[in-house]
Amino acid sequence: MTTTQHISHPTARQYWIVGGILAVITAIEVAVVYIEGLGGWVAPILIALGAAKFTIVARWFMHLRFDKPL
Amino acid sequence: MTDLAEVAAPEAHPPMAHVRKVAMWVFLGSECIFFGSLLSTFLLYRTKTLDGPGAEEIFNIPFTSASSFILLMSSLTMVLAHHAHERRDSRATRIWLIGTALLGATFLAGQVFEFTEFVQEGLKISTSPFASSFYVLTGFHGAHVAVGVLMLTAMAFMSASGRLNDSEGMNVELVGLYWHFVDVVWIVLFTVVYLLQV
Repeated sequence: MTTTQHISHPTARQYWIVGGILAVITAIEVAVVYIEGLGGWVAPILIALGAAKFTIVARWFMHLRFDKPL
Repeated sequence: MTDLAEVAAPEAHPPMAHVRKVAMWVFLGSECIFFGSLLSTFLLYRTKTLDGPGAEEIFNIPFTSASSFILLMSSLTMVLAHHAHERRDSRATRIWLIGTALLGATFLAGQVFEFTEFVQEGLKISTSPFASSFYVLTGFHGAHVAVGVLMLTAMAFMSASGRLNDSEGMNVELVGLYWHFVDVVWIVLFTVVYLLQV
């Protein structure tokens, strides 16, 4: 272990599931650009999906969810 | 009289691994300001295309989406490398590190191809404020990916020669933090620079 502040990290299987969720969100993002009729909803949807990906990577892959605060 | 040696007792110091991790987060914080300023500049100039092509005419969303997917999956392989390293599985660590470096190199190759196509279609860095701000922003991100690929390759070699030591220099966790940060920046750029402009 590199540090002592880890609580309990996910398993490899959980990481694969998180990766799958990120892939699905990316596919939805691309689809939203091509779906006609969304009008003014395109930008809010894309920002929300981007924010979701950002949060998932920061919390799960960068371990912010598992590290103790300073 | 206060005993200075007691005040500055070595055991009062936080562990070095902890200090280095905080230092990496501080560095990543400064990088947020760096990319934030470049992104703000792009947003200010995104409509100033002069006589050159604009985002809608030139961006190839399916191609950039594939590149984005590759970089996103490299974050998965990076976290698997870190996971394997924590389990002291050096062979799996090396495999995932090399996989991450290859995915990063593929993303870079895609960016070089994309830039070449754009230049051929008339979007040079000097064409318009939109072009310069786009190339500077995405080019600096690409430079960060290139640095990450070099660090990952170095770590794979160090692991192979048994010199991957957590207690000194860069380690898998710190390089992982850097790599995920580069991915997170691309998540923002892909949404704001590409998807929201077409």
